[in-house]
Amino acid sequence: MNKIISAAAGAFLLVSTPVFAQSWPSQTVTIIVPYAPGGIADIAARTVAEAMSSEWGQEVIVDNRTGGAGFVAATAVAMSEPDGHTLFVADMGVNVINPYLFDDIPYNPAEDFRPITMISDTPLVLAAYKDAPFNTTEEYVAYALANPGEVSFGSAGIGSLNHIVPEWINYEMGIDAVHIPYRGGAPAATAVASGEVEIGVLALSSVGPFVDSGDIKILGVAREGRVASHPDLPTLIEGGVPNVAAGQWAGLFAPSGVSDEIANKIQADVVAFLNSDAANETFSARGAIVSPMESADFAALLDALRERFSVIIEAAEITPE
Amino acid sequence: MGVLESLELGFAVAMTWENLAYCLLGVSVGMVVGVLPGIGHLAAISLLMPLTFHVPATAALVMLAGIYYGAQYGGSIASILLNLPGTASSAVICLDGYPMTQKGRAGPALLITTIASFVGSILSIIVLIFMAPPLAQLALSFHSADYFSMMVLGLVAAGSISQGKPMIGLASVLIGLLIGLVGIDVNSGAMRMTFGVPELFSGISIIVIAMALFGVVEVISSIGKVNGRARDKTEITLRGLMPNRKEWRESFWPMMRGSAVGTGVGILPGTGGGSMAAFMSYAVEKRTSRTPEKFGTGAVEGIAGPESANNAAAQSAFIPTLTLGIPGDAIMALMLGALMIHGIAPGPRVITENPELFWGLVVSFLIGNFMLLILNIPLIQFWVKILQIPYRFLFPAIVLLICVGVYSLSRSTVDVMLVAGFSTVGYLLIKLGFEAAPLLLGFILGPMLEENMRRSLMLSRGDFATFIERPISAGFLGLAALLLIWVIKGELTPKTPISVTHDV
Amino acid sequence: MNILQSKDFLAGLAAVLIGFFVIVTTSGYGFGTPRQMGPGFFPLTLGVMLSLLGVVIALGALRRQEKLPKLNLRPYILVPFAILIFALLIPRVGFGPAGVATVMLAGIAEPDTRKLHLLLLAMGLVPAVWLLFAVGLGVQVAFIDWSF
Repeated sequence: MNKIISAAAGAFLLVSTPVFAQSWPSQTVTIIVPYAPGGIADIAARTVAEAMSSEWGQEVIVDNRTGGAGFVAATAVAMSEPDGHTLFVADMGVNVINPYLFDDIPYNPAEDFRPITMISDTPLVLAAYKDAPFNTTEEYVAYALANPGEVSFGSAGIGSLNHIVPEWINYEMGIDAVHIPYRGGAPAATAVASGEVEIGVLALSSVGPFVDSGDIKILGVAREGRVASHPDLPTLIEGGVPNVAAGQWAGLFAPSGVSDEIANKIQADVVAFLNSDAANETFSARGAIVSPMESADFAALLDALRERFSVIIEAAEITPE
Repeated sequence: MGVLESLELGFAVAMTWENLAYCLLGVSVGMVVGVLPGIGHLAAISLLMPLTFHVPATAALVMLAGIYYGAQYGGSIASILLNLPGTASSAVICLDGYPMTQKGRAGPALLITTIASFVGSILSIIVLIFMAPPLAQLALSFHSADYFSMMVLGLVAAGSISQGKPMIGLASVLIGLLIGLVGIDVNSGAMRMTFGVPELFSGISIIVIAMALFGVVEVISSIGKVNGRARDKTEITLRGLMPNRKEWRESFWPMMRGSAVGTGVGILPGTGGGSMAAFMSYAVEKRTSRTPEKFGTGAVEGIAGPESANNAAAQSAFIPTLTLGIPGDAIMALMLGALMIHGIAPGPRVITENPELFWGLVVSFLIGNFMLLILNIPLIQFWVKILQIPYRFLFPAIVLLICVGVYSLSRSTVDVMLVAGFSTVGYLLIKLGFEAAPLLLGFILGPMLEENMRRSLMLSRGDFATFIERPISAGFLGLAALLLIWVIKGELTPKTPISVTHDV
Repeated sequence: MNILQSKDFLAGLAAVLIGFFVIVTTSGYGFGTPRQMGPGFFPLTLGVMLSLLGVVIALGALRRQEKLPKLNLRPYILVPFAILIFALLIPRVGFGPAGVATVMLAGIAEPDTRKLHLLLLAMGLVPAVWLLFAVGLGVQVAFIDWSF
């Protein structure tokens, strides 16, 4: 009898030791993704979800809430209970660009979400049609300056990163290149490959097949430093275009009311996983680079991006009518 | 590597127990989601995609692809039996499939669509095997101006789909075009007719429109008018299911032409996949038929052609996806996502660097289609039995399935409310003589038409000559003009009265 | 016959009304130039075309009189209402209660059906459909979820 009582007491003690790590997660964790399955944000979320399911001993599921330029998903996260059971994987569009693009936006990314860490970063490259009369970033800039209004660039849509980065190049160099929007990144890449437009700033992973087939040539990469997988590819900055560096990243966020303990635990666990070889392999197979970060660094990066993009978006007069 | 060696490799890969099992799983799931209204292959593939993280790349693609083309088989079943299009592309099958059921020919209609699906798929796969790389290059030679002109041709062909008064048919197309414009305008980023509802930003789902205008409107019209017994005239014996000799004969050429149309349309990315192909095929059949007046009243040609076309398109859509890495639609984008998850960069190198994947997948298409044929034929007897359920118990189930199916598209209650709204307005419009099929075609074509027209003009810096300077575009416009002249001529010449005993 | 009962006249009127609705809602969008067409160009053009076509259809009714077919009024009200109720209930009470309500409401569109029979149908059908979608296909939806 005594034995039973002491065992029960021991068990009770064990359970009731109020370590937050044991009280959270107490139920299924849902990672909301604003895009359809198959894209990089979705794959980032699923990769993290799978690793964290075993790490946390709770099911971690991915919920694709598409629609409304990410409004539907972002609003759902902003209004969710900030108990760490609802997380958000979002990108530049939802977190940086939307507020400058839309007059009426039902959430505030700077206030509603707490940045945890960046997950992955997909490099963007300046890609050109194979027969375009330029082969390097310098030659492109010279050609575009000499022929104002002649060059067209394709994008994945108004306000997409593929739209804003070329406008940024225009802004830095004083170029007049005409924006032609497409319905998504794949049609935009196809348009460059078919020569319908001369250039595009596109994800390295989406132009890869066309580089192999010889339909597209890459002029430069929009990053601070060169990409490890393509060491001979110069950056745009090396090509004489100052400042222009932005990747198509996916980051992990929580609703802003989440406690520090939970946020820090999530950050530590996810970053530990992102530093593993398995994570590195998964993302590099998808043309992305794992990018674990301290939450504070991620937040600082977001602030810097917001400042820069507000200037470019205003200068390029990017507004849906 | 020659075609024979390639096929040998493909069979070696596809015939492993593992891949056969994934193929069977895929086509079975596909059939089920195809039969269920609302939830389509896109939703099913999205839902099952996470599973593929844990299986080898070839098996994953074999399964996902199986869902895709399996759904094309299942889609026509509910269209024929209940006027309930399981997928957007099978809305066309409602036009003549459902009248066949009303005439007591549900069994033969189901058998013919099964055979038509099989024929369309197999012919398209043969094209895929022999001509994938050169055909894929065709997709790259299409510019926006060419797409625009092709849509114009599609729109002119839409005139053929109308069954009632031409004026009201045209008005139906215009209404469809307008509904298609709801959402973010790709060219300017402006929100149009969204009334501040975020769920409308990316437009209204075609499933919502098809469910409301075909499914719900049919339920409303049928309640109190049909009872269980009168609806079921099909003998449930193998003989009762067999099409008669005339039906066989009448469906042969439509299947061939439908397969050709479907294969051609499927190769072009961004043309809406099977639905566009099915509509085009229907228009071709009605135009070339000597008895166009039979269409809409249960013409076998009206189901055989489009059903072959949408299945052929489902297979040929893999050509640009696998050989160029261009996804034609959202589903193909998911397939590419699955490839990339497994570290395979889609594109021209897939065939040379991963021949076992490419040829294994292609051969699995062949095997999967045989599986579907074998699965489907015995099931027809079961499907036809659904008609024996008294309608007063059947229709509440249909309404529930429509609700769940639409809800599962993106778990949006707004989508379900839209079904309620569109069926309320749609029922009135259809009572007034407006038609669902031309409206749906307008809905499919509208956004593509506008987007490509405006983009062409942006690219040509405002010069309309771009549409006739490009040979492909000029060709489509020429065809459209010819078709238009033909139609107008047909309208002007007095019609010869059709004798009742007219022997076909 | 009263012109308001003419099928074609009403069809024309409907086309004109829809056309006008589109013209009014989209008149604020930019019309643009051929080089850079605004978002208003297409809808406005289509709206005007639809309105004009509506006038032609309505005028046609003057020489060809066809009576409006009778509406199937009871199901016309109840079936869309049942669908609307499903949309309103599912986030508040979960799939089970919403499904039962929808089946019952749609079911009584046929006045001769006994309520008890419908209830039995709903009791069997709703869990079966839920199993198929939520368990079989993995759609994330709770059977019962009282979260008003």
